[in-house]
This record gives sequence, C-alpha cells and structure tokens, in this order.
Amino acid sequence: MTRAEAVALEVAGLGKTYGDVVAVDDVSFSIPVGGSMALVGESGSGKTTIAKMIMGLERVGAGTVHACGRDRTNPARSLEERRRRAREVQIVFQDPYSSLDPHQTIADMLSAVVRLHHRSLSAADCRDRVAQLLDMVGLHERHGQALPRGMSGGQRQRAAIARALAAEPQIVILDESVAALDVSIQAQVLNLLADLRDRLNVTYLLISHDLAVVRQLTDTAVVMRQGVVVESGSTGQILDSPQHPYTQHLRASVPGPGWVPPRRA
Amino acid sequence: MTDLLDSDVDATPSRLGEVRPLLELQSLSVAIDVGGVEQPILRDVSLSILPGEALGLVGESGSGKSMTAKAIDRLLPDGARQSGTILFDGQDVSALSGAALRSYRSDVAMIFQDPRVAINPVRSIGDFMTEIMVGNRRMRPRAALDSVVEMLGRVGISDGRRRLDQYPHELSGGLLQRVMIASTLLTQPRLLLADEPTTALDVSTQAEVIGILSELQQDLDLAILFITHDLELASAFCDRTAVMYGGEVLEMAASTALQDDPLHPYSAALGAARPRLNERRARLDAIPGRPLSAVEAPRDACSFAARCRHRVDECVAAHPDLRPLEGGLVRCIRAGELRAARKEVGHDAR
Repeated sequence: MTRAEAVALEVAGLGKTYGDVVAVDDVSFSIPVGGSMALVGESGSGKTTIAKMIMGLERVGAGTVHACGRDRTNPARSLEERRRRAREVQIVFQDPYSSLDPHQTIADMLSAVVRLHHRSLSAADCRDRVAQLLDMVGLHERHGQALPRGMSGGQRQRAAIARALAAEPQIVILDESVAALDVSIQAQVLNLLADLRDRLNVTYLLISHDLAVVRQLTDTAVVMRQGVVVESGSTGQILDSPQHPYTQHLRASVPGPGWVPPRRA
Repeated sequence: MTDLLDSDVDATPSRLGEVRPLLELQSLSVAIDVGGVEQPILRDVSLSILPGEALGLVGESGSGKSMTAKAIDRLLPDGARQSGTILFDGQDVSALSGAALRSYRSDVAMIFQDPRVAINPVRSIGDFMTEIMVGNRRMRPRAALDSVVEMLGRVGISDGRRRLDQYPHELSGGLLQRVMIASTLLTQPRLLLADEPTTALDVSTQAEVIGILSELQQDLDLAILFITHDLELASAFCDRTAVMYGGEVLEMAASTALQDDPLHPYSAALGAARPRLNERRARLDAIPGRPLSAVEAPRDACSFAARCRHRVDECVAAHPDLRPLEGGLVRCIRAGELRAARKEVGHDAR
C-alpha cells in the first residue's frame, strides 16, 4: 500500500508576526494530492493567517509555501503567474453572503472565472461549463440566473464552492465553509464536498473549530494554539486519543451525550 | 388549569404537578404584515418553564425560535399581531404597562448571540453595567460599581475592577459574553432568555459559558430559555427541549429522551444529520430540501411533510396536532406507529 505520494501543498517553517505579536510560529505540514487535512484551532490560533499566506493574501513572514510543486512564498510577479496560482489554490469562505458580489448573477460570476482561465473558450462552451459547474454542486440551471440575495444560505455556499471549482484548482481551502449553515444543510454540503473530492481528486485544507466536521471530512489534522502547532497526525488518532492537554481540553469541550461542561478553574 | 398545562404535565410527570410554571405560553401565534398580506411567523406555540428550569428551544433558520423569545420579551416588530397568551407568574404579559412592565423587564433578561452587537462599543464596561443601576434604580454610582464587581465575580471575572475601565474592543468574545451575562443579572431576573448565547464563541469558551449559566441556574434558581441550533448542546444543558420548525413546536420532550428516542421524524433527522465526533460516516443522512419558515410552511398539512422520508397521504391531508406520546408531546400522526416499528426492529431506525 505504501508508495511515495505526490505532495499537493507543503508549508515549512511558516511564520508571521504583526509588530510584537507572533501570529504564526514555525508551522510545517504537507498534504498529499487528493488528501484532506484539517487545521484545527480557536480564535487567535493563527489558522486563518496561514490560509491567507497560502493564498497570497498576506505576505509570508518566514518559511516557505509550495503548492503543486511550485514555490509561492513570494508575491506573484506577473498577471500570468497570479492566474496560474489561482488555478492551483482556491478558497471557500465561511459566509457566502459577504464573499459573493450582490449585483452579479451566479452564472455571470461563474462565467467570469471560467473565461479568466480559459480565454480561448467560445461563448457556447463557456455556457456549457457554467451549467456543468452548477450541476456539480447540486444547483439548478435557474439558480444561475439568481442573485445571491435570492438564494438560501445553503445555495449560496454551493455557489461559492462552484466558483472555487470554476478555476479547476488542485487545492481548495475550506475556511469554516460549513460553520454558518443550518444542521440539515450542513450535512448536504459535507456530502457534496466528499463527493467532489472523490470525483475530482481535489486536495482539501479544512480550517475548522468543529471537531465533528473535522472527523467527517479529513484524513489528517494539525491542532494549533496561539500560532504554534501543538499536535498533528491522523484525524482519527487525534480525536480518539488526543495527546496534548490542549487537544484533550478541546475534545472535552464538545457537548454530547452525558457531557458535563468542564468547570472553570 | 387549562388543557395545555395538563398536556405539559405529561411531558414532565416528575417535576411539574403542584409547582406553578414561571412562564407559560398558551397557543401563542404571531403574524406580521408583509406588503398588505398577513403572514404567520409563530403558529400555536404552547410551552411552559418552571422556576429554575432550563428549557431548550432548538430549530434551524426561520423556525421561530428567536421570535418566540422576542414575543416573551415584548420585542416584536411594529405591526406584529399576536394572539394567544403569555403568562409570567400568572400575569398576562401583554397587558402589562407602567410600573408592572418595568418590573417584568427586571424579572426577564435577555442575552444575544453576539455581545459585540449588543453592547455599546463607545462606553466603558463600567458605564455600560452601572447605567441601569444608577439610572433606573437610583443607586449611588459607588454602590452600583460594587455590585457590578460582585456580579462580574459570579461569572468568573475575578479582576472585575480592572475591567470596568476597559472598552468592549479590549475584551475577547468569551469575556464580553460573560460581561453581558453579568449585566443581565444586576436586576436579579428570574428568567433568562438566552438566544444562541454561545454560537459566536470558541468551543472551549462555549463550554465555560455553559458552565457559568449552569451554575447561575442552580445558585440563583434562575429559569433559562436556551435557544440554539445545536441539539446536542441543548440536550446537555436543558432539562426539557422543544424542537421548532416552520414557526411551530414539532416535539417537546425530556432532553435525554429527545436524544435517545426522538419521536418526531424531524427531530430524529436533525440528530442523524450531524457529523459524529466519534466516528466518520460514509455518508451523512442529510435532510433533502431546506428548512421552511413559518411563512412558507403549509397551513393544511404537516409543515415537515415535504422533506420527510416517512410521509404518507394523510400527512398532507390536514395539519397535525401536538399530542402526548411516551411522556413527551409530538406533532406527527405517525409518531406512535413509527416508534413501535423502531422498537420491533430492535434498533434505532433513525
């Protein structure tokens, strides 16, 4: 079973400081192609800062970032380079309402992304591709003509996933992407994300504080606290027998049958 | 006593009985005017909370859970039309005015999901917290500060005096939510309406805040209406839980029963849809479609029928009543039959 797996995403010695505040300190991990890794942590753990550095939305303070075998530690030098990076890594945010343009229909939004990356595509082919993307995330063709405000929260999040997939990325960062959804809708989107991974062999980096979601969607996990990795390994192992006291505390804080809130010190 | 109360007695035979509920909602319905058409937002909601009891109100977007709290707190939007009765300590809340209304507002406190929205960002914590004591209670500022510091201590903020000079932006979300809780305790309320009080907080902070609410409930004999979308959290914290959908209560049961033996297909489906902490499942049992609000829910059929895997023709023939079953209340004509079938198969078929 063991074989050398191709690495989709690798960060090494990643760091970031804002003034005197160390937001991220010496973080390293890698995700194989088609793999799924969770970055687990609470507010201030540095998980979102890491996502921003990988996306190029924040300069890398220290260390390196490689995606699809290419170095993206430094800002892109050209438009071409920027677009290529966009084809490698895409992101889906928590709140699709604030990450979608309120004045653009879903189909227009998707076709803009498709055209950006395939400039030679004919209008008919572009329409086909948009229809395919809508279908892929379980939206009807009529949703393409809708504005974000005319859609439910779950539909908007499906549209945001379709937009990320429109660039045909190899890696998708899911930044709390199911956290704001209703329970019954969250299950639909989690199933969708699992299906898409099977179908497209896309690599996921899930950023989440929800350990049950982490269990459902990822193979490996990195637990962070105040910018530092406290524990990493297979998701099952970390959740079944957490080694670090912080991970144990996180695990004990999740309500479930027979749960008693840990009393404050 | 009314029939409604009798049916609630069934829901908790051990605890009700002689004790008079602190809060009682009798067939509460609320409608608002949307473009000249009256649209329902709450439909026939009946529930009761005993003194010192924690009652969970669980539901998804548009289920009416927040609107229920607003109706209790008399915070309904202008033009909302309310029918049915809200009784607090036996008094009709809608009829209160003047001093009686002020006293009711002291008895019932509300905390919201996001303390950053609910607390004035340009006033210091001390100003925010003493305002009501100095303004309404005519307390001396120094005495007010002392009681504020004491209340902060109650919610686990030991360096309260230092916090008084700080501003909301200097405090973390968890700390600010505790300030919010402490501020509501200043009027010595008997009922706390907690609307998703931990949803915006980190997991470990959520656990802390729940721990604090739990202590306050016991120490102060505080009744709590705990509104959440998280069935497991409600079950862990509340004695009884009501499940709402489409502006109405679909099930009301002891929290443990709701978790182990849910009676309504929607309650069961909600529990089954959540990913598990202990095991990864090949596929989650997602509920098809999306939650309906009260406005969209059918009036002459079961409001969950369109998404229900157990639907039969009778489900869409008439709107079902809330009926007693197994010590709980359930609004499903097939609940008894489905439960019997589950027991026969010998496993939980949710």
